[in-house]
Amino acid sequence: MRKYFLFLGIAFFLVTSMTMVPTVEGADFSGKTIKWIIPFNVGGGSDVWARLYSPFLQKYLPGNPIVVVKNMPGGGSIIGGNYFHVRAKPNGLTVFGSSGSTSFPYLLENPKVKYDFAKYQIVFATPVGGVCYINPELGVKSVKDLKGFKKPLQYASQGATSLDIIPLLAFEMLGLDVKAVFGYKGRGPGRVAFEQGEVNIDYQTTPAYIKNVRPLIKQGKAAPLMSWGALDANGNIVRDPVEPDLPSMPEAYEMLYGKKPSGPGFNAWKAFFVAGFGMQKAMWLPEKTSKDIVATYRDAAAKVIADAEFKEVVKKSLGGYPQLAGKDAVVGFQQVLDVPKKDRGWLINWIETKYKVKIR
Amino acid sequence: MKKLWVAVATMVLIIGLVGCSTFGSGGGKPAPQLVLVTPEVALDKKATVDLQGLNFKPGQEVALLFIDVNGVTSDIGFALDPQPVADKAGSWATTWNCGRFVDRKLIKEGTYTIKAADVDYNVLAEATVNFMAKK
Repeated sequence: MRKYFLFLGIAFFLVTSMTMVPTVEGADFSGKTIKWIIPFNVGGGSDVWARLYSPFLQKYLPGNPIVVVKNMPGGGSIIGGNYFHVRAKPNGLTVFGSSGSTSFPYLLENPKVKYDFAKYQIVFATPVGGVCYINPELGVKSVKDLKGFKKPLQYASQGATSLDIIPLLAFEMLGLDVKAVFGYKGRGPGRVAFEQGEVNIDYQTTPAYIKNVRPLIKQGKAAPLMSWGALDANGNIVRDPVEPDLPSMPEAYEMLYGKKPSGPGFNAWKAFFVAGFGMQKAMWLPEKTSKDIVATYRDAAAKVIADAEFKEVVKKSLGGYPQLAGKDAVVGFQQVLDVPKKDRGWLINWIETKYKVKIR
Repeated sequence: MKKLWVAVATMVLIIGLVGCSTFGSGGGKPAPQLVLVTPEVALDKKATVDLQGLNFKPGQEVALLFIDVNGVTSDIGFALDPQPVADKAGSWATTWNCGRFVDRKLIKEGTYTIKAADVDYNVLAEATVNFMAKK
């Protein structure tokens, strides 16, 4: 009789093994496919970023899963973000790639935004820098020359709620009289507008600055003023390593006013700087993802970042900035999440009042 | 001894039955098929690829996966018109607007694999498409 039950037991084990739906256990992704939602079109900055990371994540995630890039363009990245929020299960098989354009509507409390970074687990983040420059014919050679500078300036902008919040608020804090000319489709057209004399102050992200603006500086057609800065390991804004001779925006403020920037405007600027530049792109796991899965992803990201071949990719295609994995990314993004509601409110009110844009 | 043989027979019967239900899916039903209506496409920024599916489950939503020139897999659903959903006969048809992949150099001259999968990316069928230099 015992043998009879033994055989039945074996039969039951075999049957359940054959019919069991495979699940991720112990965060081993063998035979799995991971969906990486990128809320932008193919070929854009975030898509390129995801496609650079994707093969390395496949290499270092346990079990070497296939990582599928799922582009979900539209709604300024809100569509993809909301899809992730509603549909992603906490099983490690769906991740989200955000950019500054995804974080800004979240920070601005756009009513269409359903996604909530405070509930997700950040895996890694990628910074980028920005450098501001001016037409030297205005008599400005460096940021020191901006003290008491009252001439009207023009800036080619993509919109008051876009990444342009960073330059527009910086100009305001530095006391510059800058008129934002809206309707430009990106920083590339902004730089062209600068070269054509339509505007006289501009900024470019560091890769574009190195490629397109440094030659203008050599020709005497542009004068670099400041970088927006870069985040150090403690979350402080320091000089951008791409242009270490230029002051960061907070330094520029100090040079002009003799004191460090502070108050709700600067607090909001800093939070948006971190979201838009300091941690411009980030990978996220959904709410309620287990600690095992989060740790596995963060460990894989750390291995990717340490990979010699990937370091070359970072140098060549991601501006050479240190990539932030795990705790570094958590600490960095916490600055975005910690911005007091009153400071966010200050910024929203400033945008709505100055640029007549209805945000909420 | 007799009981032992009964136990063995029971085990074989159970495995046999489950095996039939698990692996014998279809019982003569043809497997899903992915058909490239345009298996050869000229490299162009306005390039399109026409695809059809046969023998899918009626009402099934289908994801199409494309492996680009760098070996990265993409879910190309955002660039499909219409979204592929099998009709009552298990068929669907769609057009992939792949010009942006060409423009961004994710497709160069050569042969590429497209996979038809369910929404969880379990691959059901696959086919290849050949991109040729524009004449």
